[in-house]
Amino acid sequence: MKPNFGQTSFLFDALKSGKIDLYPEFTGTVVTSLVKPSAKQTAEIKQGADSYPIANALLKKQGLTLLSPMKYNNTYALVVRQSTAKRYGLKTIADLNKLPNATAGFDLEFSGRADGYAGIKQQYGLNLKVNSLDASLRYQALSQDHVDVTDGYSTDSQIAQYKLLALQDPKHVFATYRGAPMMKASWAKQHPAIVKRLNRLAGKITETDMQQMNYDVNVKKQSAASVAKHYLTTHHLLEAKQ
Amino acid sequence: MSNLWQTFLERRGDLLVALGQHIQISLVALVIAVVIALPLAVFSLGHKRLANVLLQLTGILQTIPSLALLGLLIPLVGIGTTPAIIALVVYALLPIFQNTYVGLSEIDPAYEEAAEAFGMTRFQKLRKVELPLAMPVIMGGIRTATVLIIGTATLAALIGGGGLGTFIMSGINRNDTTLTLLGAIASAALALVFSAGLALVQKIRFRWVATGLVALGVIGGGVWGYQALKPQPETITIAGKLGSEPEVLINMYKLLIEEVQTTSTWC
Repeated sequence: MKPNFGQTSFLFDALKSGKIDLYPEFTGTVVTSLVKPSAKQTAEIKQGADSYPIANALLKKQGLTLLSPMKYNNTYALVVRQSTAKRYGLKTIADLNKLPNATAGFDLEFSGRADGYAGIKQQYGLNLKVNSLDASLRYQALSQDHVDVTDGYSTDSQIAQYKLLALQDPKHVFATYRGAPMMKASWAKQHPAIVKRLNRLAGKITETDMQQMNYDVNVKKQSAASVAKHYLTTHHLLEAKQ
Repeated sequence: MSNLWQTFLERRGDLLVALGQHIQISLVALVIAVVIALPLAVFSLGHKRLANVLLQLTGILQTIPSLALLGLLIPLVGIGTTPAIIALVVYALLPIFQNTYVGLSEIDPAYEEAAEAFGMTRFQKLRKVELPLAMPVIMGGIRTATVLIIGTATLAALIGGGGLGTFIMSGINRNDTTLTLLGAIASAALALVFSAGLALVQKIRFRWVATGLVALGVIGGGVWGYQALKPQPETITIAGKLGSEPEVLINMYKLLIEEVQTTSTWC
């Protein structure tokens, strides 16, 4: 096992040259950085189509395959305090309009990106008072009531840590990033039993599960191995040892 | 500060392993760099044009950004310690080559003439006169190279080579300053210890240094060769990006795959 590998391109090259056998990758990363989707496919993805079949079809041309992805979507999210969400009945991004005098703290990149605040503002007709905040400070600012909403990633451990909630994005402004093991197609063919075991994770692990696991590793300092084992055991994904 | 101490206590096992890997990578790279650069510098003494070309070449190698170099090495030699060591050797060549060449070529010609008057052969002259006179400058180059190597070896973590960089990178990724600090302090301390050790070595006679280097090279090469030749069981390599989430995922993959491995040995 080789954890903490640096960059996506390193892993991708290492996989293609057979130096590693598999690694977890996200559908969104595949379609934006690793393959070149046609203009039509890009448009479909923008309209909210599942990027997994597109990613997998394009990877096939490079002799690679992405197994069925897990349930959670690790993408941009607008995050609010759970207490605020309860009081105003917030579930989706559109519900932010129910919040009087809402103030937001976004990091500079998010405020500027077309698939960031600009897209959200247009699609959901939001009118927030935006402050720019450094990425490392925004959760703190949110938990201490300085702002009502910030941007983040949907599986950030801070969401569990500070009792926050990631709002849903029914209009799919944020691209979907669903994780799955990626490997060479030939390797998958040679190891059908392994593929079968790995596919047990397909459709499993919700965003809340992942937030909790990230929290257990990052904040509670548990080892990734024990957190992984705990999840698999409690969800009966491992065969009972005789 | 108490936080740092606590993290140290919690992770001291991992830190020790990382430190060991760091020392191993750095030492092997240093020995290889010395073995390449020293003889090259000695050989190019009489050939001014060759020396200039080599100086330029090692200088150019030095300017390649380390991440780019690692990226280029992956398709050729794969991942792990090998590409890390190659990259480190590339960076260490310039200081060692330059200092050895300069040290040897700036010896007062009077000494050379005296040595020739004694009827010394080329090799005797080098061993008894030139190398001892140039030794402080040469060792200066080796020390520079050592500090450079220990600092740059933190990048090995990016390509699965381990070392103290693992702490630094995880710390940055998890926004956990104590982890980053632990890695950085350990690697700075290591650089200081090595540099001081080499300063001590400098006071010992050249023959000992040479014997030590050769012994280290033989032992290192032997261990490496043994590891390379030792029959390896068929292994499956799983990798993951930086951060807790990929780490949890690849641990799940490992557990699921191990299930197949054990059942397959039953059959």
